[in-house]
Amino acid sequence: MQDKKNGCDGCGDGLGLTRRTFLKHLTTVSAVVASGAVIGLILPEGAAGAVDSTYDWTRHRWVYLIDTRACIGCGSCARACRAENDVPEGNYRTWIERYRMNAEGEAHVDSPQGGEFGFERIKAGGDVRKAFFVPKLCNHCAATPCTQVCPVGASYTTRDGVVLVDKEHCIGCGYCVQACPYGSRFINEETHTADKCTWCYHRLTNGRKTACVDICPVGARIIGDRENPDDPINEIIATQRIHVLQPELLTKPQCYYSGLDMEVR
Amino acid sequence: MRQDSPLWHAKHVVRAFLLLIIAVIALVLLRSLLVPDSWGQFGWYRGDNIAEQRAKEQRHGGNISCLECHDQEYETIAGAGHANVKCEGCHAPVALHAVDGEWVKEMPVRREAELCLNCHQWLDARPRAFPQVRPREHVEEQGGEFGPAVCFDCHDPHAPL
Amino acid sequence: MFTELTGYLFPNDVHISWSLMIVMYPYITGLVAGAFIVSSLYHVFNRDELKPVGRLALATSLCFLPAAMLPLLNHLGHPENALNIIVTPNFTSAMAGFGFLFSAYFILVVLEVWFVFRADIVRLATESRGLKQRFYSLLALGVYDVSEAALAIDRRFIRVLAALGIPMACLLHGYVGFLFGALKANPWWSTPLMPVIFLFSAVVSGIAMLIVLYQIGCRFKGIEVDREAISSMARWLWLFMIMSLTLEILEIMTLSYERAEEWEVIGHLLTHQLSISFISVQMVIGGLIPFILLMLVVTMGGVMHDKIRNTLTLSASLLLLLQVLSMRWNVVIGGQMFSKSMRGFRETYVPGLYEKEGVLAAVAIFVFPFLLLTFFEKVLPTLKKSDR
Ligand code: HEC
Ligand code: HEC
Ligand code: HEC
Ligand code: HEC
Repeated sequence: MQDKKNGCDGCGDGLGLTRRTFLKHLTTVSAVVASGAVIGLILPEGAAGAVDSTYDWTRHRWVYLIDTRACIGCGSCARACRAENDVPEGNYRTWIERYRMNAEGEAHVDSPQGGEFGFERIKAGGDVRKAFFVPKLCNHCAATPCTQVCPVGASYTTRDGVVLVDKEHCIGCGYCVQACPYGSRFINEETHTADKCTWCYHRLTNGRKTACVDICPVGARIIGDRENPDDPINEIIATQRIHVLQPELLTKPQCYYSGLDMEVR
Repeated sequence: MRQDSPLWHAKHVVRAFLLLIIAVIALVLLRSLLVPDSWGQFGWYRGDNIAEQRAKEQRHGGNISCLECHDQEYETIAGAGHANVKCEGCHAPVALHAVDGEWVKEMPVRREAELCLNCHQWLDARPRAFPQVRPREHVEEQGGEFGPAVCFDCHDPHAPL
Repeated sequence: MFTELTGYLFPNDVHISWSLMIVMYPYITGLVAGAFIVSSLYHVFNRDELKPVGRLALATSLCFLPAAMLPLLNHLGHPENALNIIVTPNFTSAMAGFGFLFSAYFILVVLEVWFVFRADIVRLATESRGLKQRFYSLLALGVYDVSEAALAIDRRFIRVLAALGIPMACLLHGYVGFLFGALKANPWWSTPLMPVIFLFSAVVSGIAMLIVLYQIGCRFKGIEVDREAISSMARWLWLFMIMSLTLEILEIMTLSYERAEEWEVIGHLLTHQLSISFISVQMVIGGLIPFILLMLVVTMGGVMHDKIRNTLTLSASLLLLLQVLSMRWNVVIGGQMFSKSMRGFRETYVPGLYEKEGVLAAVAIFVFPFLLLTFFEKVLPTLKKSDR
């Protein structure tokens, strides 16, 4: 079959992780113990074997790109995210919205259970003239309103551009949840702390892509490194028409969309 | 202090403010005890959290993680229409099934039409170029009879066509 | 709990993360700030007619202050980490100042109360025996000096503290409004008017609460309600409620007239989800009616029988207390009745009775300052016959 039809190198099988690099990760584990950490991180004892000590966060800046024209709304990403990150039921680190417009341009939007189990063939009402899926997740804004309002410094942006929550330090006030215009944050009912997409920081900084990117069967989601000139995402951002959600709020989202409709916010 | 000095009658004020100062100093000391060790290492947050975040368990391993034990399925998939569809998308994350080359728990197998229809059910919002079917019509067209696991009569999930 | 949703909500927006507790928090801080401002009217602006309630106002401010923290603590997912807010405050956050502002204000009010009541403390310390004597002498910090020179120093401090306290009280409460007003993600909250609206409604609730407490206190102690004090408080209340209501209406009018994008959501909110709590309670029952009642007191107070005047102001005050509560509710809960998708609404929100952040907890928290105040009254009487 035409497996390169999506025109995206990263969405093929290997996740950029060939067997050789995988083995390399294994051998570097021992090096971690010996050499300590490159960016001065002391790893907690008993850390999972795959922590890559050569990762230097000053040499990466992650950005995300979603091709709404490719998304088939299967929900694989939302399921993978939940399994990868133990997201409690009823909360979503990522979800998929379905937009259907009739001839008058009125939009019917839905996202049953965050689209996690796909979409049913229910009627939108009226004659559907335009329809598409839009995957959503934290935009990891460069001027993020959520870390700004965290009263205790429990939420922060890493040097490689990822917005994280320190659940040991979080007091669970919920201010960041209110401050996020995208509905990306929630209070985790199990930990009672703020929770959100981490762009799978544990994967991203150890040579893997996020679980949602890896699982997507159609390459609708890609994540890439702005600091790496060879990363295909830079070519796409440089040459294609892209958009972000709610640009009027000036949050500088680092999650780009191609093929976004004006009805989406 | 002399009795006619104006401060003579301010003894209570001095005591009150002394108490206040002691309380403030105690608070400042307490604060310095409570600040986490790695605070401010990289910014106004707990530096150790970076390492904690990075050390979380990776559950998904990609198709490559199945290769060691299921090379046949791996090859089949890679050479057919589902080359871009990930094993873990139809089954489950590898960490729930095999860890460090050891089988730990059964892998779910969803032998049901629902699995296929999740991706292939005809929907108006799906990109038109994506192969999708109206299940009943499709099966009948192909001379079958619709049932909950009918797709597998004609399609191999690992090499659908 | 079954929740009815219409339209499309972001899946995480289905939850109300700021519950009844966050309604209580600005309500109680408002009472603190409002009561303090009344006491300052007496201490700084020499409104002598307010002398009978001057001490009560301060005591009220002091007793409601610790109670303002309780709903927050109960709301936090990790109250044991609450100290982080002063241990590692993140100053880009509007909330980070809370710990400091609150502590500073607390110190200020405690100091002022101490100076105001010091003569009484010393008198009680010398009059009582045994444990009681020890207690009062501890309160007096062991200094029994109530000479005219010492009292003069006290008065000077009281004046300075009361004057400092006005901007502090405004800050403390304006700041609560800022918490909401500074969130650009929420069109129902995001307006620079928010701190001002909060401030004025705080003063309204504070004066109203004092009128209620004063009348009840007088009844309990068999003291006659002071005519001048009540009339004066009624006038102030009327003035502040007019300003408060004007601002509240102005905000809606502007939004509605501009027909900005947000109006689609807010207009729907006001006419559906908040139709009872906003239009009926906040505007009519809690706004228009007390306005009329107070207008009667203010314009015809001179010819009114004391009983009628007292009853009218008391009723107006109770209604205004309800008005301010509903205003807090409409802001806090109203802001979460729609999704940030701007396409979907939650139909109702009814807090559970026994939930951690439910109605019972709210009632318990609200009763607490009254218990404190009763205790305070036992230790240091605030209402005295001799005051007029
Ligand atoms: C350490 C080796 C190992 C790895 C790695 C491994 N498996 Fe397995 N798998 C097994 C063993 C052993 C069985 C049990 C075989 C049996 O029951 O006949 C099995 C069974 C299965 C089954 C069949 C379960 C059933 O009930 O019939 C599936 C499906 C499966 N694996 C999928 C996967 C996938 C997908 C991956 C990669 C994500 C994977 N496995 C990785 C060892 C492995
Ligand atoms: C499109 C979904 C899909 C994908 C992708 C997929 N599988 Fe399966 N797999 C199935 C289904 C459905 C069955 C059950 C087939 C049956 O019973 O006929 C199955 C069965 C299996 C079995 C059991 C063998 C058997 O014949 O009973 C193994 C092992 C397995 N898959 C491994 C893999 C591996 C490894 C990959 C990735 C390289 C993979 N699968 C990818 C859907 C999938
Ligand atoms: C996770 C989503 C997913 C699931 C589940 C899935 N498929 Fe697919 N399927 C795809 C993708 C992606 C393609 C490749 C489409 C393309 O080439 O454009 C595909 C291709 C196909 C094709 C080939 C079409 C062609 O033109 O070659 C068939 C047939 C097919 N799938 C049948 C099935 C059946 C039967 C199942 C159930 C066992 C199934 N699929 C489950 C995503 C899925
Ligand atoms: C009776 C046999 C049979 C059954 C049952 C069957 N298919 Fe097919 N299917 C076929 C054949 C044959 C083709 C190839 C037809 C073609 O290329 O026109 C096909 C093609 C497809 C395609 C590709 C269509 C395209 O436009 O490229 C998909 C997707 C598909 N089937 C999904 C399913 C699903 C899902 C089920 C279960 C509900 C199913 N099939 C059941 C025989 C069957």
